[in-house]
Amino acid sequence: MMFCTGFLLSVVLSQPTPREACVFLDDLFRSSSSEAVMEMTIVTPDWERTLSLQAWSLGTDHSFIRVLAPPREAGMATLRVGNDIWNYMPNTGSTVRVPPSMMSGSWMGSDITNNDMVQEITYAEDYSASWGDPPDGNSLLLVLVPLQGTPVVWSRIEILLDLETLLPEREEYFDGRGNITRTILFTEPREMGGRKIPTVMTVIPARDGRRTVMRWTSVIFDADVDPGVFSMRNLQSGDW
Amino acid sequence: MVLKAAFRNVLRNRGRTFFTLLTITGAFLMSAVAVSWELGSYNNIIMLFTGSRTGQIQVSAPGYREDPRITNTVFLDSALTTIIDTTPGVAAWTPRVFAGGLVSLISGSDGVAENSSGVFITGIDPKQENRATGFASQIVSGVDLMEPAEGIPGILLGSGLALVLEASPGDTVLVFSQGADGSMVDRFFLVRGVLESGDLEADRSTAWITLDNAWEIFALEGRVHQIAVMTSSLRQVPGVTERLRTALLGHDVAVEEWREFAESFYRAMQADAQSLWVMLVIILAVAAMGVLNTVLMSVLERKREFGLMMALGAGPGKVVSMVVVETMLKTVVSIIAGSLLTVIVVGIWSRTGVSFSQPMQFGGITITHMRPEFTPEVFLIPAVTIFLTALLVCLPPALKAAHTRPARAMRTI
Repeated sequence: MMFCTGFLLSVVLSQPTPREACVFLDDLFRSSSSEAVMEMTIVTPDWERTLSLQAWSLGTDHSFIRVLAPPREAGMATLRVGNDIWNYMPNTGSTVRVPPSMMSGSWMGSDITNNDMVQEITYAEDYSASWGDPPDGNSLLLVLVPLQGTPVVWSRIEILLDLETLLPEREEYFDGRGNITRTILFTEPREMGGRKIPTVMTVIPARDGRRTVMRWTSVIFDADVDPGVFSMRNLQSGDW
Repeated sequence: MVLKAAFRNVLRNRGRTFFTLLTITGAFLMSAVAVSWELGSYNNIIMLFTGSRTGQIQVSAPGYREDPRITNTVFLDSALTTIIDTTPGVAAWTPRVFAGGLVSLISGSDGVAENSSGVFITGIDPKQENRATGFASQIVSGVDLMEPAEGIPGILLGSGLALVLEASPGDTVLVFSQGADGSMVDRFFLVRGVLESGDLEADRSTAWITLDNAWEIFALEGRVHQIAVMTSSLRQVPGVTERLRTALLGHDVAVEEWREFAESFYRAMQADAQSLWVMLVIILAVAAMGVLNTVLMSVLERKREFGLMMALGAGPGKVVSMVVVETMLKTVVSIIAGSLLTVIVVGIWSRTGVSFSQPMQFGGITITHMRPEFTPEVFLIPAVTIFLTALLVCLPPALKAAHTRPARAMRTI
């Protein structure tokens, strides 16, 4: 009994609650507004290409991404307002709203889906969280099960966190049969935009040989972003 | 001696012989028509399904069916096309390029396409595709892709897709997709026509562009995902598949027939074939009953005659063989007569076919016309069944006749 109490006490003292960890993760990349430059490398068995991107966000429901390079894709842009996504293609000068049936489709040929872009789900509000058995003594394993009614296709997420910093190291998404459907690796934690964040995110879908690596080059959190960025006019201007 | 006696017996009672012949001939014709219809409907559905779309045989990169990646291609070089062209039994063939994408109708002044749909883009050679699948005849409005378009390249939309996009010939649509090298492509296309293949699922999601356009936008110069090969009948498929496989051994390709690449359809057809056989067995059973009835009657009513024969010294064996030979003689004549009638009836019928006033739906394809089959099976199945039935049903009465006690038999009737 004494031993048990002592053990529990030590856990409580050294660890935040699962909910606290969720809130920490939810707020990691979130801010009232942001401006970032990043590189997205898509690797497939047949080809590999890198896109330079500039991204803006305002609140949780406005974001805008412009492709800066390579030349063939430069000027392509994506505007997201709430649950709607529009893509602008400079080659034809046309703007297309992504239909609901294509929301689970790939964004710009990467392993990131359109749904990932519009996700407003938070770990703290939409999942029930608990601690699992971490694989080693330097990390924590946060197990998230979506609450009833959370519109996601996975049945469980396991997030490996660094014991010291609580920064995520790996996220594994499981389907209803317990198979991993995708893995996200978070690496190269660094000070950027006044926060310590993992600056490289690697999305590995279950499909063989594919992965998408997002590398943040710079981030400004709570940046002074003009709301006009998130307009159809800016989307179609092709300015970059 | 037996044959001679049997002959005489057959000819002696003309009325009885005539009715026996009539019954067996009728049974034969009925069975032949049933077989021809059932086989016809089975083969028609398969040929309609494979002929309007998939082909009976497909040549593709090994593993493409399991992993239909855009880069999983076959190089369409002259060595390959010459082999396919010269393989006996190949009636037509058509190369295809497949890619997924997003298609949107460009409308409204703000240039924002609100009406979009995921699309399965198929690059085709319009002339070859038409020769293979009668593609042009599936166009319900507009024109096909055969005449080169001025300016923007042409596209054909499946009818369901056109409905979703609210697009019609003359409209401009935007296609947004990704090339085999990973580059994003967006291109305008002019809707040339709307197509209805009868496959509702495909018509909802497919758009067709020319092979040249597909090669250019998907960065696939000279490469295709599939070559659909047509034969003139299902019967030839296994042989042609084998010949193509052998001839294309040096090329890195997979040759598959419809039973392999359209497996779920094949399974559905197999289930259908089972009900076909149940139907046939019932029809043949009815025909066999008729044969049994006439043979039985013609033996029973001659009890007295057999008694007399035996009283005059004919052994039981002789009586049995005489009855059997008699029956079989009539059966053979009936089968020949029935075959002649079948040639006339089914021959004409299979040429004209039957048109349904109410089109039938089967597995997403619409059937408006059905042609009965006119093949050896149409004759063989009824002939064998009726011959065996006649043999089987004449034996018990024949044996019974042979065991007649002459004195009693002559007294009773």
